[in-house]
Formats: sequence, C-alpha cells, structure tokens
Amino acid sequence: MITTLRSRLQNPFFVMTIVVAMFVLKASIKIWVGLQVNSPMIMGDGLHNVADIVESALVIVVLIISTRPRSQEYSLGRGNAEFFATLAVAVMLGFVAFEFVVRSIAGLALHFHWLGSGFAAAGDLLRHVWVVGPWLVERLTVKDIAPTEITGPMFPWVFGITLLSLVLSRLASHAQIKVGRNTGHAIVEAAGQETKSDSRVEMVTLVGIICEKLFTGLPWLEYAFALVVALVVARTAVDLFMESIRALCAKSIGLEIDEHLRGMCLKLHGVAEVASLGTFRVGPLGVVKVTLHTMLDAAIPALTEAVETQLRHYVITQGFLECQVDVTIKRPGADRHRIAYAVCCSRGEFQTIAATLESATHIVVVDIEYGEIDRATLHPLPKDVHAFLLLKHVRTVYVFDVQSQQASWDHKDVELQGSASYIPAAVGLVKPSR
Amino acid sequence: MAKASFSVCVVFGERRRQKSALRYAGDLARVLGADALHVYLPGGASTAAVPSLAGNTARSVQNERVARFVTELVAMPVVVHDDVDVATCNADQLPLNSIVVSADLAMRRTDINVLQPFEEVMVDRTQGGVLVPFGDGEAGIIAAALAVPLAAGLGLEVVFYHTTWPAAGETSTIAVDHMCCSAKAQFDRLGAMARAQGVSYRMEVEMSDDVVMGMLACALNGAISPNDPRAVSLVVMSHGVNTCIGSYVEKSLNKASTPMLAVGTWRERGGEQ
Repeated sequence: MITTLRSRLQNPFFVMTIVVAMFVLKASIKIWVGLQVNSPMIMGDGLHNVADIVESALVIVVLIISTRPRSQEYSLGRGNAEFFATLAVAVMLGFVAFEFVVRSIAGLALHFHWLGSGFAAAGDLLRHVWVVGPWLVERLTVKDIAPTEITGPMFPWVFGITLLSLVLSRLASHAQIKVGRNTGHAIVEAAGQETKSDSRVEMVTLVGIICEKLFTGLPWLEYAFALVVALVVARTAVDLFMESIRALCAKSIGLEIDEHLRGMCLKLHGVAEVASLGTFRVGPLGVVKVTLHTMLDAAIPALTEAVETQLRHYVITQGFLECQVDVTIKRPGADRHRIAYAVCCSRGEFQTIAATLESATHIVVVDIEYGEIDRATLHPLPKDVHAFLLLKHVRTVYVFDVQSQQASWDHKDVELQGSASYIPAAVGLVKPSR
Repeated sequence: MAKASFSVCVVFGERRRQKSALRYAGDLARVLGADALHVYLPGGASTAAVPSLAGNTARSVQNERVARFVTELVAMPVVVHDDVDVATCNADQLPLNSIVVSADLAMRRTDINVLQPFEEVMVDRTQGGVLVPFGDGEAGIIAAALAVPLAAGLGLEVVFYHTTWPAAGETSTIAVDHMCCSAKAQFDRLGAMARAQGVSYRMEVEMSDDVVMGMLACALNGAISPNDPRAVSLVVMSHGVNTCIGSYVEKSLNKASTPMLAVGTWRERGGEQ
C-alpha cells in the first residue's frame, strides 16, 4: 500500500490531482469558516485557494501538452510550454508578494507614525505619477488589514483549520517540488514553490491569530513578520521568472557547464579544436550543440559516439532528466596555398632538394592542404623562375642552401626559405609523379 | 623493481603529421626520462644524392639543421641518425627497446615497435591509463611485455581490455561470466606481469559486437570511472602471430584517434622481417 503510494507520488499527474483536491477542500472550509466568523482575511485566503484550483488545473493541462511525444514539427518536444506557464505563475506570485508587501507596510504605518507620515509625503509625490501613482497611493492608504473577529468562541476552529491548512500546504509543496525535480517538470516544481509561498502566508496568518490572542499590546508584530515572508515570496517569484526567461530565450544551461563540456571534448584524442559549443534547455531536456574539428576523418564515428556518451552523461548529472547532444565533427580550415621546391631530378625521379635555384633541374609546385601535400607538379627549371612562381601563385620557394641563394633573390612577393633537409621524402616528396 | 629504459625514435619530416610525430616523440622521451630523442632521416640519407654545397659537406649541414629544427620543436637533446632507413632497416639496427614514433609506419612494419600518435602531441594529456586488449591467444601477452614496463615508466595504470561474445547457455548479463577459460588464463598471466612490475591494473570486459569499435570506445570513454571519463593515454596492441587476414591492429589503426603502439613481433617470428 505504502509502496504503491510512493510510486504514485512519483507521477506528476497524480500529485497535481491530489493538490487540486486539497485546494478544493481548503477553499470550501476557509470560505465557510470565514463566513461564520465574519473574517475577510480567512475569506480572502479561501478565495485565493479558488484561484489556486484554477491554476493547478492549468498546470495539469500544460503537463499534458508538454509530455506529448516528439514529432517532426516539434523535434525537441513541447517542454518549453511549461516555461510559459511558469512565467505566468511567477508573475502571479510576484503580484501576491507585492500585494502582501504593500499590506504589511500599510499595517506597520498604522502603528508607527513616522512611517505613516513618510508614506503620506511619498504618497503626495506618487499621486502625480501617471496611472500607477494614484493606484499605489490607494494601496498604501489602506486603513486596516482584514478586520478579524476570530478571538471569540470560534478561535479553536479558526486556529485548527489554519494550522491544518498550513500542514497540508507544506506536504503538498514538498511532494510537488520533489516530483517536479525528479521528473524534470519545471511547471510542477514552480507550482510547488507557489504552494510553499501559500504555506508561508498561512504561517503569517497563524502568527497573526496567535498574536491577536496573546500579545494584544503588540499588534504590529504580525505585520513585521508578514513583511519578511512577503520578501521571501518575492524572491521566489523573481527566481521562477528568471528561470522561465532563461529557458524561453534559450540561454545557456550554465557557463560553467559549457566550459566543462568544452574541456571534456578537448580531452578526447583527435579533437583539434572546439569550433562552437552551445547549450539550452527545452523543458526537462538539456540540449548540447557542439561542432568539433579533427583531422582524423576515419575516427569520426568513434569520436561522435564518445562525445555523445560523455556529454550526455555529464549533463544528466547536472540535474536534467534527458539530454540530447548534437555533434558535428569536421575538418578545420584547409589553409590551401602553394609552395615550391627547387629539386634535382634524374630520369623522372627526385634526387635531392637543390642547393640553389641555379643548380636545380626542376621546380616542383606543391599544393598544400591541411599542412600536407595534396598535389605536386614537376616542371623543368624555367628561365625566369620568379615570373613562373608568380604565375603559379606560389607563396614560398625552398632551396637547401638558402644563404647562398639570398644574395640573388630580392623578390618580396615570393618568399625564399631554406629546407632543413635535402632529402625529398623529408618534405613529403615521396613518390615522383613520373 | 628497476624501470626498463626505452629508446624513443622518430623519422624526421617537415609536414604536419610528421611534425606531430616529432612533438609526441619528444614528449614521450621526456616523460620516460630518456637522455635524447633519436631522429632518423628518411630514406637513409647516407645513400641519397647530395646537393653540391660550397664549404661544409651538405650532409653535416643537414644533420645540424635537422637537430636544431627538432630541438626547437621538442625542447630536448636530439641525436640525428642518417645511416639507417627506419622504413626498411632490420629490427636489430635500431637501439634496444626502441619505440619508433611514426605517422605511417605502423601498417608497414609489423616487426618493430611502432607508435602511431595520430594528431596527438602530448603523452599524458588525458592522464588516462595504458589499454592493452587481449584475447585467448598470445598477442595480449606480447603486447603486455612492452606495455607493462612502459606504463611503469609513464606512471600510468594498465587497463586490460577484453571483449567476448555471449557464451552459449550462459544467461548472465555480466560480461566476465561469458569469458572462456583460456581468456581468463591470459588475464591471470597479464595480472602476474603487472604485479611483477609493480604496476596497478584492472580488467575491463564487455560484450561488444564489433571488437575494434568496442575497444576504441573504451579507449575514448575511459574505463576509469563513468563519472570521470578519461580517455586512455595509449593503446598497446600486438600483431597476432597467426593472423593472416583481418588484423585487429590494422583495423584499429584505420579507425582510431587514440595513440596506438603496435608491438613488433620480430622475435616471435624468429627474427624474420
């Protein structure tokens, strides 16, 4: 029985259904009790729970959309639908936090005249600020917060129901956050964060009730406490907002993660360079797009598999449920250019790199590609070597005895270089073409 | 246990792959604590035609230039040899315990120890171990005879890799359970060799359909830990003495990116090239 329940608590749909049921129960009881004790605070809380029912139902709808299988049109799935909903939750949560801050400050202003006069002065200035100003002033000039009549005979009921509501909210938020993280559904985790914020509000309500009963001389206490909680809720809203924006704008899943992935690629034998690496998330899916350079064409299948395996494994350890790694491996720039060697040939075979141009029998024009000889053509030594090299677009000409040659070579457009060895094979001229 | 000394040899060349081989060879010689890197001129320069040069002989100028070129590249002492053509020489013309670092000789010389670094220029870039594949024959033992002292010299562990096909009637999903008795016996011998040299070792066994790709994946993904993937630094394989068609060494050389040392079987073949 417990095992079945535990396994079901791993299902986000089951958890969200339980949460909806919990909100229905809480809303019904709170509205009923609020009517009984004539408490707008409890009534308001109950109505807030009605909004939570709608929101939780929306979460389930978003879950249904986001868990639909990938298709040709949605090759990465619809996971980002969750972030649109999370964004909405963040905005709503922000509004709740703002409302709560304003009400707390307004409550404190009732008890501290310096604060009240400060607000009055600020209010006079704010009134002149377009539409928002008068609206803010309206909020800040609240005369009292939720007048309560809860210290009478109904006190045990009110206290018990608020406490029960608090406990239920904590349990529900714990389950939502856990299943959200485990299954990678950001929206369920966000809803859990909101439920947690609700529980904090309920905690403040409970403190307010207790303060009203016990510390009749310190009525401002509950407002001070409420202000702290409101700021915590505001921070949660900002976190959720930023997370949604990051995901929707395809921001990197983390610069440190990117750097680590880059380092992992460079540690693989055969990877010459990481040309580009980008990451982003789509719902619970981490996506890595990487382009690598290698000179080893034949090793590309093994390298591709290794990069996919290693990067996927690392990204999943960073809290993602799935990871898709798109690897492109290609050669770097070929740096194609032409060089030439002055050579001595006999019967069509290379004998040696000539000491100087004057002692050469032939010129070999060599096409260099990726630092290797791609093609070489043998030409009898022309009368005007410089003109011939320019015609062939040769960048550098090599002889063995460069010191002797330098005296007679004053051309800037074709560089003269000395070959370390006079052996044709040492410079890659292994097999003569004829 | 005294560490074996190795002579690191390399064929000189000015092209990209040859330069990579020079840098790798220099690093290998440095890590192994060799006094110098042995650089061989291609084709046996002493027999090659020599350009006419005023003053000094071209040969001495060339050797001096090559030594300077390589020293600048690898930052260690260099000995230039122009009297032996590594591509065609007898194995006993090379120094004792020699490892020839070359971009293209591993396919052509099965009698000498040839290390193909591919594009790698550093021996311990990954800090991974030395991978020695073994089967049920002698090839693994021949490879380990060189790999184990080499790993000791490099300060790396040895990973003995074996891939097996599922044994008939065996339902276990653990690859070791499918190993045949002779392969297990080989592993025992390999373990004894590693212990004798004081080298730490492990066995990595899997059931891979494609022996070469399985081995290469293991080399790249690193068998050290799935949470700390670290490609092995070097794969050491021996040409199978009895293999006549379909050498695993050649197949691996065609697909690998991990530096690979093909152990020569000159002695095993009775000194024949």
